[in-house]
Amino acid sequence: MRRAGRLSSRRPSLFGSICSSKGGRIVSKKKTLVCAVFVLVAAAVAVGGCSSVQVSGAEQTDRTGGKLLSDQMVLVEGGTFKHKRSNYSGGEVAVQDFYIGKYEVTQKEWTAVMGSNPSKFRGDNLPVDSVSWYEAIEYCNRRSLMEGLEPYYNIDKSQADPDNKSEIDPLKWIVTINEGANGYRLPTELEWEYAASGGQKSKGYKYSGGNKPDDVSWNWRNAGNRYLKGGWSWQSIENNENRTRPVGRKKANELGLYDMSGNVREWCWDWYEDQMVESGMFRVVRGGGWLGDVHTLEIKFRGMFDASGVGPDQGFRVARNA
Amino acid sequence: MRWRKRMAAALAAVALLYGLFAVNASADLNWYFWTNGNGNVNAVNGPDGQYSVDWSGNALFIAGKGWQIGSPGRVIHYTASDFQTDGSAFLLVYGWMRNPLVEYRVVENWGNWRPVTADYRGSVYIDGAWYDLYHALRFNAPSPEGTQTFQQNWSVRQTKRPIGSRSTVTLEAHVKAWEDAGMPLGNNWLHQILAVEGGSAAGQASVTVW
Repeated sequence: MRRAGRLSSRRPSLFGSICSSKGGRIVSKKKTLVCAVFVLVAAAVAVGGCSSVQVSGAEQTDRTGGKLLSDQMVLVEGGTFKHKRSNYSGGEVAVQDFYIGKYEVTQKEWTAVMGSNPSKFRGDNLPVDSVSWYEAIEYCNRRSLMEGLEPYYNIDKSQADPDNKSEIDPLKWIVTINEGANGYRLPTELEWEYAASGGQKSKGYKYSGGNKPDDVSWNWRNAGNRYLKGGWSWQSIENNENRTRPVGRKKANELGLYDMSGNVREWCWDWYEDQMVESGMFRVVRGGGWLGDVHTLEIKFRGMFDASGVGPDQGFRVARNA
Repeated sequence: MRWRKRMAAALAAVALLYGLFAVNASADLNWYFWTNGNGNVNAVNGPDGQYSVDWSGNALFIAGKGWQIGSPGRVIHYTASDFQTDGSAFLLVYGWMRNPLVEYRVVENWGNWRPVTADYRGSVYIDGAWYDLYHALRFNAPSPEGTQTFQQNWSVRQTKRPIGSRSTVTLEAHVKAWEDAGMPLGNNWLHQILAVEGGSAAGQASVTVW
């Protein structure tokens, strides 16, 4: 019996069923290819329609109608902490959905909004450094206005904030929130730790993105000319020309966020408070940077810095309501 | 064979006794040497608690031996067989505490400049000598927690500790003095060392800590 040319006795695949003309029989390679392309495009359109991002011309808009650069901001799905060893684990604390910057604010971004660059280290893709909490707040509002968003903060510079207990803050601006505004803002400390810990995708790491600090962060040991060993000391750091590094070069975390541990410390919205320190003295800084000891890069480490303070290891990333 | 058992028992007893009394007091001492690379600094990590350092050309360094985890109750012993400089340098107990962040110094000896700050907080008599207490604030300066504005506690001996003498720093007394003077104290102690901090011009030191 001749076997050549006999049809396969297997059941045709879904692809074969769609792209064949006679009950599973593939009759033409060219027609098959055209059909295949059609199927793939149709599938892509179907999937794209389910996304929360509507494509509108050359811009993408988020759910609040603002301009969203999908390669710069990440939508963080809210919920309770999946990470088991965070400061908020095991409790009922839940985070709402929010957007957060994939990267620390860069010098290029900062200069485009503020018109000048205070950073000690210079480079377009380096995180901006040497910015105070007040300056970060102003950046958020200015950028919102530039992008047609509603500013998230009200800033009153005419009188000292009675809640501000600092003995060294020369500004003491009163900064309040426009609830529901869609503009740029600082993440809250809760949001920061939630995002750094990987949100609902958390794998329980010690640092943001992993357990080995050198894989996921620029820190005092690896951010200079030579790898530094031994105990922390600023003298050896200075001798090693430690500095900030371009954003996004280390391993991202579970949510695709870069440099949450290390590079520059990141301002958060909140006043710092604990059993020893009363609220109103310092603002929260998280994530550590290239200067401090490695334990300050841990997801759960709570740092503090006076709001008017500036440092070459101090920057921030932005957030927005979802 | 009985004598072998007796010998073994005797040897074990001797070993046990030796272990009880031959305590290596400096077994837990760490060596610290930090420099910003200026000038010339030659720091030698000697055996046990001994170290030496010589420097020239406006070096910025700290060299010493001590403990990775500081303690407010520690009694620090040392002998400086040599400490001389024609510039600015200190022989001191140096360390950090957290919560709040405080850098502290107990200065035992110095070169041509005895450290003082504008914020004098009184004088106390500790370990057979008078010490002046000073407080200072460092703005936007490097610290183990990155750039910080942090406080400094100083105890500075009114007269230089004699070279070659077996010396004691009862840290608990200084901590109490700082507390009584309204100076801050952290609840988490970081490294704590008996060190040489320098220094302008040139100098040399040889120290044993225990």
